[in-house]
Amino acid sequence: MDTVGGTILVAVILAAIVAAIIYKLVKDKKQGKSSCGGSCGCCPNSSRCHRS
Amino acid sequence: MMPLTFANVGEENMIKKVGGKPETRKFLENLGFVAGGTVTVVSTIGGNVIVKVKESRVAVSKEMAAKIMV
Amino acid sequence: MEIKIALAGNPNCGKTTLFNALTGSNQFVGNWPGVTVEKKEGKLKGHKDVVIMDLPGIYSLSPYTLEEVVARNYLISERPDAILNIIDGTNLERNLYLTTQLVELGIPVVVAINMMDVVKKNGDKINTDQLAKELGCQVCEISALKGTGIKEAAELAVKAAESKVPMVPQHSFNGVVEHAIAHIEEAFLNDVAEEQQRWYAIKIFERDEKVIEQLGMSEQVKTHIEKDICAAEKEMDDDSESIITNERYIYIASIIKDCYKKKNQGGLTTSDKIDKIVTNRWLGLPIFAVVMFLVYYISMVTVGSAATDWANDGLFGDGWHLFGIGSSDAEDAADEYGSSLDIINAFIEQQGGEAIDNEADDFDVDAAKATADNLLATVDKSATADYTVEDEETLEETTETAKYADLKAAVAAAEKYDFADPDPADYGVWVPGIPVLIESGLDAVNCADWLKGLILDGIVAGVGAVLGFVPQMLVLFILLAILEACGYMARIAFVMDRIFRKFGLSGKSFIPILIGTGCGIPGIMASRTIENERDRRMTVMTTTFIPCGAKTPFIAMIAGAIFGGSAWVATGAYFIGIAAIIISGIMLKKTKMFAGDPAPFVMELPAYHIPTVGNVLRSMWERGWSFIKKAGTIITLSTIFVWFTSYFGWVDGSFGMLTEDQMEYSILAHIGKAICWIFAPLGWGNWQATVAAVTGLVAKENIVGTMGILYGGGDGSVYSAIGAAFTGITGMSFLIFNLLCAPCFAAMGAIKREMNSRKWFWFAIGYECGFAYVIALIVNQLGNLFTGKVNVIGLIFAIALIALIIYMLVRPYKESTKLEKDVKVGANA
Repeated sequence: MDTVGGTILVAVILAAIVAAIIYKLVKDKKQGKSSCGGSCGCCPNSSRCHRS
Repeated sequence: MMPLTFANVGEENMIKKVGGKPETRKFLENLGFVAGGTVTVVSTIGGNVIVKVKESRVAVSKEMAAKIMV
Repeated sequence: MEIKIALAGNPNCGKTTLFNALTGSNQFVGNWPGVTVEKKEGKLKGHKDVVIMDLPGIYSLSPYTLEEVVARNYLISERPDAILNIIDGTNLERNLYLTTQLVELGIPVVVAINMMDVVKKNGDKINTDQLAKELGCQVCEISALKGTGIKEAAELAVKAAESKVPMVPQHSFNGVVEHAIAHIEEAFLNDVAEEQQRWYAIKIFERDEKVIEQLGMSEQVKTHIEKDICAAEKEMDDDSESIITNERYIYIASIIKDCYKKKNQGGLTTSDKIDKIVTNRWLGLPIFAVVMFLVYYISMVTVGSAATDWANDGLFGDGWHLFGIGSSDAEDAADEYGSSLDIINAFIEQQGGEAIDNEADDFDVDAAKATADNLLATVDKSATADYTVEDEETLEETTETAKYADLKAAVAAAEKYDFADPDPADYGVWVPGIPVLIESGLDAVNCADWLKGLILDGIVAGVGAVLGFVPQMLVLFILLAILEACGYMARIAFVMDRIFRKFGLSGKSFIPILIGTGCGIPGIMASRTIENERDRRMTVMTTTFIPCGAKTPFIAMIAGAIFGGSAWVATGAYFIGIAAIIISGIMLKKTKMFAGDPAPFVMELPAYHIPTVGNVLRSMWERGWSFIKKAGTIITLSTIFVWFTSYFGWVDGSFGMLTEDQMEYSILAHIGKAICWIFAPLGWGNWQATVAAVTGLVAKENIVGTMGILYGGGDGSVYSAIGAAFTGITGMSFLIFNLLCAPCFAAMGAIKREMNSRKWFWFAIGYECGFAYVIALIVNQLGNLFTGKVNVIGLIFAIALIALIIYMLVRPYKESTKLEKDVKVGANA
């Protein structure tokens, strides 16, 4: 594999990963998920936050 | 009749009256602090108390405890 | 047709556990409109059209707290098809208080008694059939934690919903009250559906403001009804609300008598006994201090740092031995070889010869051997030579003296290993580090250098630095989860309340802080338990001062690079965080904006119980996974951005890719230099530190990632480069600034949501950054006093700021401004 081919291959893979990341971030934002793990489904402290 | 803050630890007392603003009273009543009910002090720390009331454990600060007369 | 079932019950009764079990992952979480109360909906597993609505935990349907209002509004206006009422079997009396109100709504009710396993263990007996008869609805037993009876409870609820038979309460109040209620129904409620009339009538009797408003009663009717109510009050010598409350408890007492047999009458339970010690006025605080110290010691220092070293040097470094196979052999070899070459070279140089360079291109092992043998033969047996030893970790250099015997051993060792440092890869099972693997992969496809650089020096370096901390995070999360699950966290708030009250705060403000040590976002959201609006805002503003999980990496980095890995740095960071919160609390409480007595502290304490392994692991994994996910997403993007902007720039007027030495000219450097002067008074006015701090706003882990890229190029390790760029004082100042300034974007989003107001959001951010700046400046300027490099203007500012802070701390409390409470549900507060 020559340099250009190899570079393009790696670059394309990288671009795909970045696109996937951005897509995931936007989707999470829409669902209102926080970086903690999604509005308190995560916490054992959920009983502390909202009396649910 | 004395405020809950003065009750002895481990003693079961009967609540004679719950004072305070209507909202405060209602709130306390919802938790089980009703006239005629019993309350036992589990622990006290600087006037704040932890009590057993209606089978559950509630932590109450000094100001609130003072409104509960036993 | 869709069936709606509402889950109602006290807080802490296991509702959420049940909800999760019934809906699995088919949940949707949002907010009730206009309020910060969470709304949870989900589809019942195994049913096509059944929706379960998890209502907030409430003690009653009174109109006094936000949760109660939200819950009852839902029940009245949306009229679910059935209510599944969960009650805590170990706490029957108080839980039934809500039940008696639910059955008055006219909606079919199914009662599920939870925690039956605990009830049975305590030896208590509940007669569910009798209970069902007395309440007039179905009663079943479940244990949400263990998973028993859940499906049956759901089925009962679905059947009740499908049957559409309205709930008829079995209970009547005493004659006087019933009389008044009948009057009310007659006078006013003819237009209301029959099964709902009773609930409304009772509420009107209690003078429930919200109901009265909702029904739009005319003044005439109000006066008429008022007469009835007053008559009843006079006869029973009590106000209407208390009358109803008392009636309910009398009813409940009679139920309990018939249905509930308790094994131990009275006396203190185990939980009570534990509480006596743990919340004891003398022991409470010290116990808490010990517990928290243990938590951080175990996670950060012992388990944590060992794992992080492996991650940083091994997994993301050169490599590591699988299961440690071969590592002791490699270590022995390394010890044996030790400083052999240095010793040999020391003697050679002493003799005026040329040192052996085993990295030179023309290095020849045999020639080196010959030189060494020759040296051994010719050197004076009593001669000594000095050589320096550099410690890998601390970069400390010590001088050692070698004697002839040392030289002999050195030559033997060097010859054994062919004058090369033993390669650990030759011993046992060696797994190359990820960077090595990726590099060889990239080389195999002949990837261009710049792209290789982006991937290795950018992404892998940045993300790897962050991921290296995952082990520590996991341990910390487990410990915090255990603390919370066993019930101790609630007690802590109570213990701290006494202290906090002295500063005008309530102990409830402490819980968000404690949660914030894991992640600031749930900490900020935990402020919802604070009823007092002002206290709540203040708590939201100061919660992020405490180091969160994401801040630990850069704290550890500064500790390792500048302070020789001292454990005190991390401990100190926590103390600084707490001190910042307390100082802020006191200062702000004395301003007009926040003044006012703290809300009285009333909190139910759940019984202690052994946390289930499953739960603890699950919550640790969820948090840990989101940490990793963050690394894979936001941080990856950030590192790519940082890499591009730091490896591309203008050199001699032309734009292009730069080498590591030329970072000064990069895009990033230009941006950084434009603003780095702001931080000059803090002691770190260089562009690298500035840029790192700014990237920290996206995610605090970025600070480590960015510095990994910016300081990673060139000779020496990242740590040594950082160690060279900062002094102890400036390092401290940098640490403090990043610790206290505004949190990451995600946390800022949480602040914005909780504050529900732009003005407050910006005030919070502004305060945090301002406070961080001031403290860091003071530390730097005062610190310089000790090192002798005094900057007069800076010092004057620092002293002035200290004086200002002291003034704000000691001035007398002001009278609070009138607190207007806007409780309109549906409007933005």
